Amino acid sequence: MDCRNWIVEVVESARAGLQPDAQLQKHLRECPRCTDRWDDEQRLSAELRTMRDAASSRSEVRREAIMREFELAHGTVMRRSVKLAFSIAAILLLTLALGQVWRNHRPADTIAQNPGSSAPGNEFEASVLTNVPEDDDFIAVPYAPPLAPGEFIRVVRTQLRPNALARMGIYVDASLSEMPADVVIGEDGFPRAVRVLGDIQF
Amino acid sequence: MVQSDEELYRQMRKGDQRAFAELYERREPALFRYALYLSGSRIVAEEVAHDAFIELIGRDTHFDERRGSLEAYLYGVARNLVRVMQRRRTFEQGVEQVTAHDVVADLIKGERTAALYAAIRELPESYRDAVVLCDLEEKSYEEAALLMKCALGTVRSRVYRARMLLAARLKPLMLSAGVRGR
Repeated sequence: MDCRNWIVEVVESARAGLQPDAQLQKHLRECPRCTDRWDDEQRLSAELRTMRDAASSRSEVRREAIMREFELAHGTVMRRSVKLAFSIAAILLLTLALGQVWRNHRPADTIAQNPGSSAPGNEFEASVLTNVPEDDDFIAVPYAPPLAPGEFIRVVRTQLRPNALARMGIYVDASLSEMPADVVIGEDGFPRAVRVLGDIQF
Repeated sequence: MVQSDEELYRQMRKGDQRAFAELYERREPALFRYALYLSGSRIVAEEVAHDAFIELIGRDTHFDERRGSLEAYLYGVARNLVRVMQRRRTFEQGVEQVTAHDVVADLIKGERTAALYAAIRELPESYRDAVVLCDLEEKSYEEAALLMKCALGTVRSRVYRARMLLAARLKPLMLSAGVRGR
């Protein structure tokens, strides 16, 4: 075995912190070059061990800092999820609101055309309206605000003057005195439809 | 059962802080030492180890399991960060300042070890990686070969050459100080 092969033994023994085995010791006694290398490797291994021991370090400060960074990054992800959830909720609410507006307008139209019939999406008023006497002569009051879903209505029988009827969009002979009428009134007190009773000429 | 780095990484990406903490405990100390050996500066090493994990947390992380282990990836990130800092002039200034009181006073406590840090920094990069991983991080040749993505024999020869260069560099200092190997 020549020195090149012995060097492998020299380096590996020094790295492992082992003493040279008998064969290597014999070679080291005979070869000053390998002995030099063995001394160098021994010294270097000792220095590297010192360096390794000194480098060991644990830092709670570093650990806490990186954990905060993780929470921050993860928190950002959470915020994105929350934003998305809020966006979806907002879209749903907007859709519901538009639906309600659409439904609120439909019964008013239906009342205008046929106050006594049931209006889809506004069953409550419709059911009340169906209790109104069946001759179905109600006339919707123009420009009256639409009934809200589930809003109660009352049918009030009263005496109305021609000018009061005119304000509700019903024009009768102005020379007539008060006349009996049924008025559909919403919860807000505004009239929604009128039915003039008796034999009246419009 | 011990979870692999990659399993912890997958859980961590889903927001599992426990998984991240475990990964950090497992890899940060070695990463810190690795950066310290490459840079010779405790401050730089702390920054590098921290930034490597920040990179891992970030949305734009480039880690891909199919291309290698997470450990190799982290060493690669640390190596690049040290390199980037070396390119910046701040690194040089930092090392000078740190060597003046940080490393020498607090960590190395010895002229020879300071010289060893300097000698390691001056090694060619491939030799430096080999000696740091095998002789300072105590990785086997097989593990180092995986981390360095080269053949086992290549790692061994690089370690031998690196040690020879280091020994030659340190010899005058050691002889003048009367340090003997045996």
